[in-house]
Amino acid sequence: MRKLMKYEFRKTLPIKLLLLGITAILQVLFLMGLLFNRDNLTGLSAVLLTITAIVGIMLIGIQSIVILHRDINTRQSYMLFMTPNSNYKILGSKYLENGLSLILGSAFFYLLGFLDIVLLMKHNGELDQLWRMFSQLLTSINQELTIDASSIGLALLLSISNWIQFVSTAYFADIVATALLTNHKHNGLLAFVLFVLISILFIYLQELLPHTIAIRSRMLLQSVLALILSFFMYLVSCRLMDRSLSV
Amino acid sequence: MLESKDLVKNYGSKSAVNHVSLTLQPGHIYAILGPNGSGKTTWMKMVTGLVRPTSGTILFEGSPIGIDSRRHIAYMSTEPYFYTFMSIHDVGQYYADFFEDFSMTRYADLMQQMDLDLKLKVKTLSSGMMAKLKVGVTLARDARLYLLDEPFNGIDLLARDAIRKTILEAAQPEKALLLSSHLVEEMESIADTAIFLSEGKLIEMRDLEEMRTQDGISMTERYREIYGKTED
Repeated sequence: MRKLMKYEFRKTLPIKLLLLGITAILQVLFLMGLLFNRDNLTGLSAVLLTITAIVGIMLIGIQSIVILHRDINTRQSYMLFMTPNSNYKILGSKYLENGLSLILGSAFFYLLGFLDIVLLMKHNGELDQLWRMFSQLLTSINQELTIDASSIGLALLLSISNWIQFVSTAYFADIVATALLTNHKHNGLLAFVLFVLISILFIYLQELLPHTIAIRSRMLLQSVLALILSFFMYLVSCRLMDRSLSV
Repeated sequence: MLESKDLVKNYGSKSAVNHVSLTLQPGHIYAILGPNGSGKTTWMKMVTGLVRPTSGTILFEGSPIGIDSRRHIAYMSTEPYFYTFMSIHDVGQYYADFFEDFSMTRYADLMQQMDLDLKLKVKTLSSGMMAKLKVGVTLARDARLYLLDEPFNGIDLLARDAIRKTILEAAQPEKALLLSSHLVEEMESIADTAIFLSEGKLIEMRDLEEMRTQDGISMTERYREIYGKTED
């Protein structure tokens, strides 16, 4: 499994290095803006850093979907499927590599964002006041909406588990489409249609969760449901690969 | 060693492999022959586990093929299949990571014999260099069964000689080799048994020495008899 993950990581390395490079440049610009009191530069680099973080996390997930599609639809598939590894390990390594990348990537960007906000508040005292006002505003809307470590943690858990569910659904749809239409040029289209249908079904399932419970409890339940559905799709995908997938 | 029992692979209404039953024994070099679309590649891919059969069974040393058989069967596809981000050294490392029978020393020797620099990137290789790499990395395994699909495709005469020599070196009493090629005359000097396929069906499986002594014909002549008749 470790060796499979090593090669999964190699496949996604270029995009990660690119993201890291862009983030490093923007971070330097942000710090220069603070150091030389260039508010325009600070503001612009902060906005671009936020966009890079959001797009970057999305790109890591989307790239893993593209890699899976290539790994089961091109000759490259032989590299994986002629090795003495079960489909559970092969797909599992993809899930783990992508899940870890999403978790570590999100944690990295959250941490960087937190440090930059702290720096910004230290540099500009007015912002500190503004932050407190924003926090009070949230609390006045709903007593449960506070900006503290547990809220941020829950938001992080929910966003990561939702994104893992998104990637898992795409994996599952692609595997079903490839098993049904092996080497067919339209299997990508079928995968997309399946992905949309399954996603709609999952939104319906999320809606079945009780609305009367506290927001935090609901966020936690949504995260757990997303992770359970992801695991279920992983098991069904592996079974399907064992029975029907020709590469 | 390997038994293919009543093996079928259908793609829609088309039958790529049609009830093929045959047995491969250790100590033999088999030539699997037939025109394009006769089912050679599909049959090999089913034995490797890359393609799922529609029906029938494949047994390797008495057990259905699966993860364990992949440890002992070395397959070389006719198409290039390496990750493009890899160098020739990386390809060897990949095989070393996943196949216990792979020898990095033998791989380096084979690459040297074939004039391939380990630092070269896979994406920069010509089709001839790629063909040599595929053969080299497959034969650097100490497998029990080798399946080589068109190992001489796109290779110049001298490299072909080197590959023929390497294949013959790999032939051991406890191993079996199966090769497909359109270069029937070339195969005659390597193989001891011929498997003739046509339209997914097994036409015949013959010991070449027996064919020469009993029927007085070579494999090439038999090939012309079978497929010439089909084409007429």
